[in-house]
Amino acid sequence: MEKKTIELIKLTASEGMTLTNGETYGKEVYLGCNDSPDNWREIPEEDVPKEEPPEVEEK
Amino acid sequence: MSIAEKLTTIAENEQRVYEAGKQEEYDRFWDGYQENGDRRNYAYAFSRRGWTDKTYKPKYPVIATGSAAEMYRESRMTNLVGVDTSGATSVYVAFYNTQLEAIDKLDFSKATNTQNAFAHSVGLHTIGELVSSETTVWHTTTFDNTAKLTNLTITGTIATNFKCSIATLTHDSLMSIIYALKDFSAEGGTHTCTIGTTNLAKLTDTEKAIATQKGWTLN
Repeated sequence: MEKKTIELIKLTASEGMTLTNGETYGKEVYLGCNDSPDNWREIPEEDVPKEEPPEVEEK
Repeated sequence: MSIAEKLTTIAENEQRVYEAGKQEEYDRFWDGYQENGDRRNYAYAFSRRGWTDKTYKPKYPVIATGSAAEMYRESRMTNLVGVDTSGATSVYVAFYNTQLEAIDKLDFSKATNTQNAFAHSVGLHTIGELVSSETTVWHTTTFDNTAKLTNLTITGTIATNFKCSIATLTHDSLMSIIYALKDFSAEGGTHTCTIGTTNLAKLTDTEKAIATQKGWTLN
């Protein structure tokens, strides 16, 4: 029988805050095995860049 | 043959003659439009509102290579079957703002520009199979505002940051994404797969760990 413990590191943003690594944003983050909590920080929700309108040329 | 008999024969043949004329017109258009089946550059080919379920009746297989940019942009078909995009290097805006509800299969193996590929196709419910490869470059906007996307089966390998956070995705769809993520555990580096909080809640910790152990940060 093989017994394996899987470690899952979850970061959760504080109330009114959002997590970011500078590229992506989220309330909950489950870190990949090569990622580190140091790569993530909290920012106020209002500082999250708004989704930009699609860069699509009108025809 | 008497005049009465001739009239009877004409009446009997009327529908057949009409159908033959229609077929000839169909052949003439599609032979030209699809270059007797040799056409491969389908960029813009079926773009805009004139293309509907009634008008989109290709005679030959639709095989797009090179740029398939804007291929079906703003078209008004509801269902797409048998489109071969396995040789397409760009699917930029290819299915943008369409009225498509279902697409059976698309192959983005060679696509290095997937920007806004399905964006704003708000009725799109099912992509039966979407093939990815290690060279496919996914864009944060590929699935923007595809608000009804429910069934999405990814096959192959996802090797660039991936974002599809549509809240209606099924558990099976999410698992197809998880399984397709390339194993970067040995290579290192950080890679993100953004599926959103609602979808994260559909996965067990064990299922999430499949992704994180391969070096993918889920958010």
